[in-house]
Amino acid sequence: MTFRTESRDERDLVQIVYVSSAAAAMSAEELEMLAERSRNRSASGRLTGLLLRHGEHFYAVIEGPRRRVFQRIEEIIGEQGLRGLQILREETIRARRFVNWSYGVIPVTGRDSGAPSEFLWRFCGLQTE
Amino acid sequence: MGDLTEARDLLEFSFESTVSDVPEAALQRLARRSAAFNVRMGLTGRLRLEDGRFIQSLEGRAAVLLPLAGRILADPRHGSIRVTAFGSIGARRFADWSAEGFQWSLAGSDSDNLHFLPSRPERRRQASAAILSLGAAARPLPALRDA
Repeated sequence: MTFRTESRDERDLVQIVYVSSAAAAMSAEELEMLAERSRNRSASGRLTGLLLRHGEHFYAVIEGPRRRVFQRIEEIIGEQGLRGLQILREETIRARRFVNWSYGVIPVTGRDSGAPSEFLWRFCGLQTE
Repeated sequence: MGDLTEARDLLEFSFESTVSDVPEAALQRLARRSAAFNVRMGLTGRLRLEDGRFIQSLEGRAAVLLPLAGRILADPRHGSIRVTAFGSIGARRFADWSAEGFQWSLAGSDSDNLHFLPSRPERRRQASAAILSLGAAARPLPALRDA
């Protein structure tokens, strides 16, 4: 029964690209929990994509079955509030682009502050120059 | 390297992907262009081709590597992407950029993913030599810009 649900879900995939500034209000412990949860989510395999933290900002690509993805976005809003949440792109996809979930922390040095946004812009196929 | 300030914004981006529907010549052009780009931009790391999977580690300044990572992840030639590392590192693990593992064991070459590999032995040797020379060309580490 579960399998049937999953395979139907796998035919209705979406990918969402978003930015938020939720990390500003998170403690070191909360961020560590987030990293831990990211590792667990990777193991569950239902949602794939990546989450990058750069200072107080998150840059994310999240993909999976439509209802699971929107459920996750609702959870994020529930846990973290809107906090500058901007959905840059929402797209129906035929196949997943990522086979796993990854989380990374980008160094903050001041001189590369635009680079994480440029990462997402390029990922969305948009030039910034 | 030899640049004491660079460690603060060093980033690693490692991933594996399946590259499909890329003819051999295009693959070599792609590898050659990316070798030149990586060297010019002060990126180090390694590219390996293994059973039709690209296994690539790139390291360098966040300002250079982040836009490149975005471009790679959006490139339709890459599929089934597994990001294995993406984030800050304290120091580089690679001294240069190189392409390796192109000995192209053709066992199991009936796989669709390998169709771009040359089928005749002499072409295989030529292609292999061309790609290995990329690694050699990539050897010297360039002076980093705005160091």
